[in-house]
Amino acid sequence: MTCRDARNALILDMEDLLDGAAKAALDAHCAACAACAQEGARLRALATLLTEARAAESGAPARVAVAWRLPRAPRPLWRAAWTAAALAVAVGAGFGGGWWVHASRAAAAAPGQLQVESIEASGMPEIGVRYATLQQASLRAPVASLQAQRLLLEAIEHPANAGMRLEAMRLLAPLGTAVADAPALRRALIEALRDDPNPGVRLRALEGLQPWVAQPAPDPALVAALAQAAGRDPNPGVQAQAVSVLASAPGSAALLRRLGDETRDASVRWSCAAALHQQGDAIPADWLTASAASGGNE
Amino acid sequence: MPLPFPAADAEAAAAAMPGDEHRALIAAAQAGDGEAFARLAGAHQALVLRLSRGLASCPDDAADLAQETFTRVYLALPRFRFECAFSTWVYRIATNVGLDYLRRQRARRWLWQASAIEDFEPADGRAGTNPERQALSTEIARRVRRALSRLPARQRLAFELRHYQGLRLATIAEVLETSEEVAKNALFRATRKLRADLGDLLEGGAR
Repeated sequence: MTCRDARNALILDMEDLLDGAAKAALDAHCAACAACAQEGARLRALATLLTEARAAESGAPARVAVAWRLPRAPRPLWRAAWTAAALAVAVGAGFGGGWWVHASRAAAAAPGQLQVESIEASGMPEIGVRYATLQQASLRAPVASLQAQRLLLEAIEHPANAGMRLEAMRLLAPLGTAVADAPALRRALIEALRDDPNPGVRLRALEGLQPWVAQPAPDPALVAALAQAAGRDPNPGVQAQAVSVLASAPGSAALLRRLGDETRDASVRWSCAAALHQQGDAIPADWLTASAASGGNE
Repeated sequence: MPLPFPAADAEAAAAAMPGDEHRALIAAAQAGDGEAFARLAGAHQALVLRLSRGLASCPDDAADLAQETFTRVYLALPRFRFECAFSTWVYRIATNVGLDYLRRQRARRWLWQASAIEDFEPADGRAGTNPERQALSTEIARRVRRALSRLPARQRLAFELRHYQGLRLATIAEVLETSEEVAKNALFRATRKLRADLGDLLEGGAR
């Protein structure tokens, strides 16, 4: 068994999904390989962490009392449906009431704050309407506060408001790796760089990612996103900026050379050449030839 | 490696009733006996609530999911054909309700409020009276919930059913209406993502 096989087997073993022979082979490997044994310990710790975190949220198992208001005799389905919908599930240990409790609380909200999800009218004259509510809340807190940062992280993913995404990035990006949930910020910025339709947001995401790129061992997902933006982003400004950010990653010269080799876009190649030059690396001679032959415009 | 499953095996608890009695109860509920349905629901409510609570982002949603599951169980009961264990069938309905919810949540993520996240954080000193320890415990619980929420819906459900509900792989496959191999693959991917997402909490093999 190789270490790579062992790492995969350890993941399955965490959820007890290995058969006897595979488990024996894994145990034998871990007995001889300290690194895999340590990974096994980490996965056991992960299993415990996942269980304890859920227990910390849930507390004692919920004590449940169910009040079923059901007909004693068979009834036509069209009536039974909405009787069933009116079942009230009252749950202890942190749960509130059932749907109708929720609905009546929501009904007090101002018009415009409701979103109707479905209407069931087969049991006329009684109808059922399922809807979601949006409660408004506000927060005034320093940007360094955990709660403000959580909200800003949500705002970075706002699907409809590019201005809000930009503003959230503007506030969070300067904090960089000092943000409380720095991995979440990094992931949100990577996602924005990959998928955001607004080039201004993608540029801001690039700016925000800078602190992670310069680390000794940057996240491979980040490097891949930068390379993709440098090679394929539809906006030339974003492409050039992505090359520039990518160039600050340790050991990026090989990646820049490959990018320059593979791109069909002369401006991207020139950006790669400039970045290589700035790093003191030689610019491949055929790049100059290719650009000269195409007049610098492929 | 022993699993940190809940002490009560969900499948065993749901199937605690003697076979004939259980079957008669289902048949009576199918014939419209409300008391029979209430007993049947009572026997399965713990597993439904545990799954709902694991998937929902706030207690209100969890209660809604549980209620919707039992409503669907009630409406679909006449179509239950005893082709699988009743608990598996209930799990399947709860899982479909959960899948709809997770997909809806993903689409409407921007509607979430910070208060909904706070709702699930222990605020009664369960982590002890030490404020620092409590804050750490709260933060870890938040990180875990966030990591779980990032999993694709089917991977999330496979993981919930295995790790938190303690179901066998064959049952998970049956609930998700897929093959054991696909269910195993979903579990593998979910676990690997959680490992990557929460890795910084595991340094040295223990917290």
